[in-house]
Amino acid sequence: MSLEENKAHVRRAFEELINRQNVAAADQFVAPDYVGHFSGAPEPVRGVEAFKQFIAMYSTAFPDSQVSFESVIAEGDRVVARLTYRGTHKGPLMNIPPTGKPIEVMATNIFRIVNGKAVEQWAITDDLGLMQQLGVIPAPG
Amino acid sequence: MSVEQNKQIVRRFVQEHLNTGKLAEGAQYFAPDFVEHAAPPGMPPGYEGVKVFFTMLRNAFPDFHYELDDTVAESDLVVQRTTGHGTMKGEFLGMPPTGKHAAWSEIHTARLKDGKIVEHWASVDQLGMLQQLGLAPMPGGR
Repeated sequence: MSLEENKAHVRRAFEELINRQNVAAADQFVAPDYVGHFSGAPEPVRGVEAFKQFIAMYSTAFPDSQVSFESVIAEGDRVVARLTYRGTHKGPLMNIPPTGKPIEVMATNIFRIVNGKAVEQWAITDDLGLMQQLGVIPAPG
Repeated sequence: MSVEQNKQIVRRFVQEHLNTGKLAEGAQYFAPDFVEHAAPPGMPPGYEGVKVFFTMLRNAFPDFHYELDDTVAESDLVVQRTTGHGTMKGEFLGMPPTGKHAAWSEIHTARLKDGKIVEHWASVDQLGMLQQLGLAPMPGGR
């Protein structure tokens, strides 16, 4: 797989799994031995089923969420996607009941791609900004 | 400048300036029109804001340092995944010192032009950091 193919793979994964809410397609993008390191998740997310459950939690909370890409680069087996999530808080998120509020959250994701599938992911999302936009944690100042 | 040279510039800035507190000398790596996209509200623009922020951070967390976990670069962009470490001994952004240690993840994106950093974005696990310091509720808690 070329660097361009790896980048295209990551873009397709976000478009399919987030923008089209097609969580079932995760098998196409994520390897069976996948490990995800997410800010906001106390333990690594291991395997395709756990990955599906993790993203389903967010698609339940933000059913209209859309990703836009700020930059996507690749080197070696890595792809980095810097992106913005936008959506509306229409379903429960962990134990936070739906607030109906619009959210806009930045994130940076690094993927390690082997044979066209993600085997590892490091994702940092602005969880503090998200909690402030939902009104769960007071905004600064 | 090659991708490898760009990586080296960003790595040296982190290791020789952010990690040591030699912030005034770190200005050599930044273009005069440098734009910081990751500054908290109220910081001065340009490299001056970086200097002010890291001076505050190092005053609050005297043992602050970054561990460099991964580097990915293409074209004019360099991405670094780092772990920040620090023990909160002083007030930080209006929050009282808790004496607790935190280790938190960050991913930085720098854009370089002619060997200088011209733009910077960051994703920082601030919530995780504040939770470890005892300054924010744990996930699921309210």
